[in-house]
Amino acid sequence: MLVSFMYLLKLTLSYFLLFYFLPALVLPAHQEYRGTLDRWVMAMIHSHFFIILIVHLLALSKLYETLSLYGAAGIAFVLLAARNIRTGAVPLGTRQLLALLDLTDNRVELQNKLMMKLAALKDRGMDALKRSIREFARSPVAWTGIVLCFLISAAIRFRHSIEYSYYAASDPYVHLKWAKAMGGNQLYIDGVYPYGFEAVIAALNKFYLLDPYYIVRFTGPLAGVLVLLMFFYVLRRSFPRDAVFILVAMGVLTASSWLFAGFIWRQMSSLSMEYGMVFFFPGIYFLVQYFRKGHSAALLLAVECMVLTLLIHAYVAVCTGAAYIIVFLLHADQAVRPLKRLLKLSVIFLTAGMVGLMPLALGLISGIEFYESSINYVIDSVNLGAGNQRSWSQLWSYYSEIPFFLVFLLSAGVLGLLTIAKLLFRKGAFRTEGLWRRNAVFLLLGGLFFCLYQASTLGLPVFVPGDRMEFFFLAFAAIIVALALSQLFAFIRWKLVSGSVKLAATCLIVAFFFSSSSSGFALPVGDRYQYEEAAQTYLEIRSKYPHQEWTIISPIEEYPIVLGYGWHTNLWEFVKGISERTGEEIRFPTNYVFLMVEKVPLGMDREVTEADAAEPFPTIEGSRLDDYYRFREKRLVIQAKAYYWAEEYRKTHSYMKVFRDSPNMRVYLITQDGSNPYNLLN
Amino acid sequence: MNEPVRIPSAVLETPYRTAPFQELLHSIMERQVPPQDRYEIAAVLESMGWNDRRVRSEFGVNDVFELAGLLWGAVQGTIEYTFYSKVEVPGALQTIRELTRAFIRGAIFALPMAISVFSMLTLKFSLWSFENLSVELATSIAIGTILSFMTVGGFTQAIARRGFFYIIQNQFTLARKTTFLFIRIGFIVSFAVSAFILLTDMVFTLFPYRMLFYIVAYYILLNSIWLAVTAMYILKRELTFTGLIILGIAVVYVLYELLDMDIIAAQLISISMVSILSGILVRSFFKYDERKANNRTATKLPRMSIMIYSSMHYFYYGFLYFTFLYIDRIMAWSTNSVYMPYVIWFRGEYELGLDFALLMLVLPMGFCEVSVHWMMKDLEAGQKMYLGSQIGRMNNKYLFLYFRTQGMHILNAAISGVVIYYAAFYIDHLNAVRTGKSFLASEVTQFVLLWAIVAYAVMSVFLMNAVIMFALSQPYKMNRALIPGLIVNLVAGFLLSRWVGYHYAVFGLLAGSLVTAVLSTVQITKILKKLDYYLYAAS
Repeated sequence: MLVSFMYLLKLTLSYFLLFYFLPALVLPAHQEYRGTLDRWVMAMIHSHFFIILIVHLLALSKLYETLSLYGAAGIAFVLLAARNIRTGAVPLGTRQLLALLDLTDNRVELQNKLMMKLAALKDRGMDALKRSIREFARSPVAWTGIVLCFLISAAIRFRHSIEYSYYAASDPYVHLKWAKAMGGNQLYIDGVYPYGFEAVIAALNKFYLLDPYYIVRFTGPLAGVLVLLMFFYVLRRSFPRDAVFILVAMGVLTASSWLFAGFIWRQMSSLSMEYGMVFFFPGIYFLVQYFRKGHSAALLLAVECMVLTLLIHAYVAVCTGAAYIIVFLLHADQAVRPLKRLLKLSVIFLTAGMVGLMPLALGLISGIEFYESSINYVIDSVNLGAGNQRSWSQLWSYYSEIPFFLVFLLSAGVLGLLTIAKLLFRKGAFRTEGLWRRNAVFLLLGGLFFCLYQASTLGLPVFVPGDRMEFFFLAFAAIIVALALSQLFAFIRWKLVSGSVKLAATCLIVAFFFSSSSSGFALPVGDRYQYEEAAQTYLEIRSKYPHQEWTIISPIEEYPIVLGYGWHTNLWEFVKGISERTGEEIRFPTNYVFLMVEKVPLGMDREVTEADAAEPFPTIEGSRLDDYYRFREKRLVIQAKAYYWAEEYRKTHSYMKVFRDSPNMRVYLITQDGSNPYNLLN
Repeated sequence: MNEPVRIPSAVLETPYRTAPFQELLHSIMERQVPPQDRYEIAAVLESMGWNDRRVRSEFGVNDVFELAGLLWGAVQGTIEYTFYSKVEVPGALQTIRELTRAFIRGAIFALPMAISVFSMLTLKFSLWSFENLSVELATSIAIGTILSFMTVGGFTQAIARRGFFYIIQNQFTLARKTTFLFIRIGFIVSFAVSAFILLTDMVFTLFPYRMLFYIVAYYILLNSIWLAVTAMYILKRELTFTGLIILGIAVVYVLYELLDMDIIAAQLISISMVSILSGILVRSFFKYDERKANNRTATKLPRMSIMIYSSMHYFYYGFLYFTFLYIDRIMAWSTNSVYMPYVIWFRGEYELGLDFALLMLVLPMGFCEVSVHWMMKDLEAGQKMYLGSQIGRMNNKYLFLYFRTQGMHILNAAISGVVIYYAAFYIDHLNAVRTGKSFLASEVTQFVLLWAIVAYAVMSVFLMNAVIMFALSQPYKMNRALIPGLIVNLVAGFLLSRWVGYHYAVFGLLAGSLVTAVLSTVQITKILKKLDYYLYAAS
């Protein structure tokens, strides 16, 4: 547990250093976005944009590695820094040299300068602390609640990755393999796919030489928390003085963790779609900001977010595109006036789209096909024939039984009515400041994602699988509930009373959410594709044995983990070799060979027997080699054969020892001279 | 421009030739060398107790200023007179002795390297390498070694420059102080770099701790060795260091072969011993030379800023040169044909080719030392043989001399390269017959050997240019040639190793050497075309 925490801390620190602290040092700050959160969000967007593009470019030109990444990042850093440094009559280099020479003759001056720098740093820190305390003192209950929501959300997302060494889903193993392939300059190893997420993993790996296994293990939950932080940022910027509003939205979203386990399950694991969501909310926010204030910096950020989602995951890109269209439509008067602006926006977004789709296009042009599993999944998910057609009354009776939907629909209705009423009957600030637009944006986005999420229930064409839309819907639902409450009680002028009422209402709503559920409220549990012991064994081997001088014989899950640090042989291949004895020798040219055998095959509840081992070697249909492990009966036979062979072999060969033993599995170690390895058939 | 001296015609001849006038001139020159104008001489005269009445009675001039004018004329006349002189031609025996010493001095610098290679061929290990190291350990040692050269390369150049500067002036105390100051700073930097590596690794785990220990251990110990070598070099005790290397290898032999100790432990103990012994010896040598010189005049070093400023270009050169020398290895070893766990992954086949090829520098470096010594000696004396009106002739003569020397140097390098290439195969053949193992069996090693020999041959051209430029105190011009070469080395090596094959990084070394050789030759041509100016500037 402690080691896991250490690695989590290490990854978090590395991540923020690469994607925040370093870029924030040199990125130009717009006058409007100078706050700490602003700088963080802007640094995140710009640095991801740069890193993902540069990793793609380098990998495409077969130049991706630590040195080239350092070089590219260094050049970008220096160029940006040079923009911020004012040049004078004396060149910078000479100035620095003179300063150095002066300081060598005057150490007191050096000490003074250092002390002054430290004092300035301390003052800045104290100012920031004071500001934070002042802000907290304005709404202590709300801020405490927000922090609690964050802590609970983070704990839910990180729990699995801290408790277990194995991944909670199957996809992370694939992402790990792809990220390592990218590190070896192989971009389309299994076909064309947006590799933006892999680029992030590969960049973290190459930049810090962190084992990608750990990066993948913790990046999923980290991305889940980052999405929440972005969500918080958008709320904070949109409603800067209303901490209670933020608490209500965050509270509803946090409570939904127990109600809609799907999105939490997804955010527990490293999945590219969840990572792409990090840029979804800021993209919408900055586009709205662009229309409201005309800042080109905001437009640039919105465009970058669009490109990032295209580079990371198609579904997020589709959602971002749909959201952008709604924002466009609601700001159509500003978008088309003057016409030049529309033209400019069209060109910019078309270019952005081309940049975002470039890696896919290049792959396809090269004659590589889409990643088969993924494209099949996308095609299979589309259902244009629509689902069961239900009448309005049927729909109402269905949704009225689920408290969350009921609250959402009621809130949307109330907010919609309030917005229309205010728009029609009230002049002045509400109309001129465009507050109705803000309500309308959230309402329409909430409606859109509700329809996408519930497409099959509503009888609409399904473009994206519903479970993938869950978080988008929940986030907008949370905002809409919070907005409805906020505007419903806006007539209460006394802030304390208004806040108390809203908080009480929120508590009632949350309690109502939990008042009825057919499936219970348990948090999701991660899946398991390898034993904890298997992952632990890998970690032990990697830390104790010299890299690339050991081989692991095991099922396929260990392959992407081992890649680069050691060698891997598929257990089925090995078992086939020792079972069929075709005359070919079985030798592994490394000093150490580890054989991982499951005494209780994964997914079964009994130990292997001699009878299992006596079964003929299983056959598979089709080309999916992981069928040897996916199908329990095949896995059982393979593991049984391996186990009884190993037990027999070690009785007569002293160089084979038990390396690790547990009720579930046993790991054997063969120690040999890698340049003259043993033939394991003898 | 000085004011023209007005000398009264009556006294023009008389005092100028008298013995008291010459005596006075001599005592003024002793006090103030050289006076800048007649007013300075007047001030000196007054400080010596001369007044108008006395000069009138002694020399028949009107006042002190008039006498100062006469003396100023005489001073200028003296300088003009001594400007043109016949050069003493050293005897043949002396010349041969000097040149032989210079050659040995140049070649002997590569002797420790030759001994290490010989030790590897015969014993399978040397002071800091071993044939059967795991790739991980070899990587650690390689990183430690490269890092050590890049860190202390600058300090060794600064020590050499400032140390020689004082030693030539017989100021051994100042030489010792300077040397130890730079060694101290070198160690501080080494420890700071080690601390940085350790702290960074604690946070980011760039390398596992087992590797990190070896990286830092070899890094610090090798740093201490390089610093000690430099000190011995300036004290002209290169043979002592060669002896220490042999002793170190012997200690490794005893610990590893006879006492069955782990090779790494044996090497670390031996390197530590050599480092400590080197430190003690350097201190003793300095004390001995100080006593011998018996010069107790100046014992205070100039201000730190002056020390830094005067040696910084040499420091840059040291850093750039060692980076240049190793950048192709870094490029080759960092090429990841498959996923690599670290930035650098040692490839013995590449290293072996370079190690053999490096031997080809022994002869050209000896020749370089001889030819530059000869050229500078000639220049030192020869410049006095030319009048101001003959500057063009003088510059052309030395430009021609340079190209002639460089031509011979290239010929020498080419011969040395061919000899080493075939010698490597011959030694490999003997070794294969004896042990059944061939060092040059790999095509990669053969490829690297061939092209590294060519690259080092070209490199020897710019090394000679560097020595000449240093002799004329123009290190920054060498740096101007080296920086583009380094960039070409890096970029070409990087691209070729990634796009063609990792061993093609050797072409980076070749391309970089070519660029630096051409640019440094251009620089040196410019210098020699204005040699008079640079001689003046260097003085």
